[in-house]
Amino acid sequence: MDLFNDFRIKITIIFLLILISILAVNILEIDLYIFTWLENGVYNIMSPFFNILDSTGNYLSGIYQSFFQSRELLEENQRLKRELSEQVIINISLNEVAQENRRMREIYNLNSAHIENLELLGSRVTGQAPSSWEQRIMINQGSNQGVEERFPVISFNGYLVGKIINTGVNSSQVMMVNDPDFSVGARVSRENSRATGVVRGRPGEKGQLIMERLDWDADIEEGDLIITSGISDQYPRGLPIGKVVEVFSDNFGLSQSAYIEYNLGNQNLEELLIILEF
Amino acid sequence: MRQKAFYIISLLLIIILQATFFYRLPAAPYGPDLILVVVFTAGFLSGSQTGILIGFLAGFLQGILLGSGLGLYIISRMLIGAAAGLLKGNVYKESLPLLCLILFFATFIHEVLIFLLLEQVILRISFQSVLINRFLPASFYNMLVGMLLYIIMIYLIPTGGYQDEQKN
Repeated sequence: MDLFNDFRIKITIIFLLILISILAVNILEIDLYIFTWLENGVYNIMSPFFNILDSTGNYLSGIYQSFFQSRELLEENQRLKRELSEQVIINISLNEVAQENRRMREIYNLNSAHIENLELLGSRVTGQAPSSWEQRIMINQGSNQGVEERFPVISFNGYLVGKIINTGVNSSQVMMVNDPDFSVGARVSRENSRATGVVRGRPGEKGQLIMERLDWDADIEEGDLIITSGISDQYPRGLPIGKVVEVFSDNFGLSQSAYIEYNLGNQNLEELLIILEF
Repeated sequence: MRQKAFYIISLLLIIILQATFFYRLPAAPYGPDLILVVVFTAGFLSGSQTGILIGFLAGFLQGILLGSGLGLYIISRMLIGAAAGLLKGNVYKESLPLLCLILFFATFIHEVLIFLLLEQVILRISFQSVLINRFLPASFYNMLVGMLLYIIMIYLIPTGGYQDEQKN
């Protein structure tokens, strides 16, 4: 039998050994230095190509836009200027409120519960993992710019996008909020509710997350804004995540869960902000 | 040797294109998984040994570069590379309708394998829903786009030299 000649047996044994080793490393979660070293080496060699291709794509897209979409760009520019002037007025008023709040806190000796001084770093999305389930993207900022693993990443409208899971010299990988492995402590942002739970990615449902482990009598309603709870020290408190679209009873009535809608369609994500310090 | 070099270069180009270009397309949630097509083509045209090698490399690079973690894709891609190699000599490389069907099933099996290996997914979503909403559309889409890549690769692949013929 040709199938079982020496050469094929050798190949099969090597194949099986590789499979068993990979399974063992994954199941036992063994962190081998040689893997980390190899990962970082290959990643650092290859990531510049992603950045180059992305820059070229953006350059060509810029040329296309300047020729064929100049009218739309002018209109967008006018609209953004209008919005900016409105935001400046709102910002002045909010600063007044924040100062008043700070004075009151000093009088009553209370610690601040809000995001105050975020150190942010802008970055561009250079690629996305071609996986059916895992939601990972690549960005063009890495350890050279002070990025480290577990740093939170937000969109330009302030919504939580995910966290850094791997850094190269000039690029990093981000695990997004809709990845099945992602989880973050969250709470309802409503004046008369402080219900807390855990928000996780919801596999197979685009644009939706799930908030689990809510108390059976937790006060949560459709339309509530969900924000990070800040219970762990990995995320600042108060980052918006999304809005509740459905609440349902879970675990035979022992707890509640809710579906959260977030508006970070992967294809719309081009620029992101990394929170370096909070 | 020249064929292996061709597959490796194709693989690198496809990984870069897959990560930077294809995710911008409207059908991005369904693929296409062209990395799988390269592995399948390597196994089918050059045998199981090459299929396993390219499968390993594809899974390894995908894990590192695209954040999928070491392991998951190495296993699935190596299996597809090995299985494609078993078809070498049994199916004509020019019989495109049959290859369409085989590529459809290869993608389908690969999708199921990944689903089974991801514990965070398998425990939280029903197989029936994934079958209809994910596996079948993704396999069909990958079959259509993948066949184009397969045809391009057949035309571009260097004819096997003495070393390639001997080894396979």
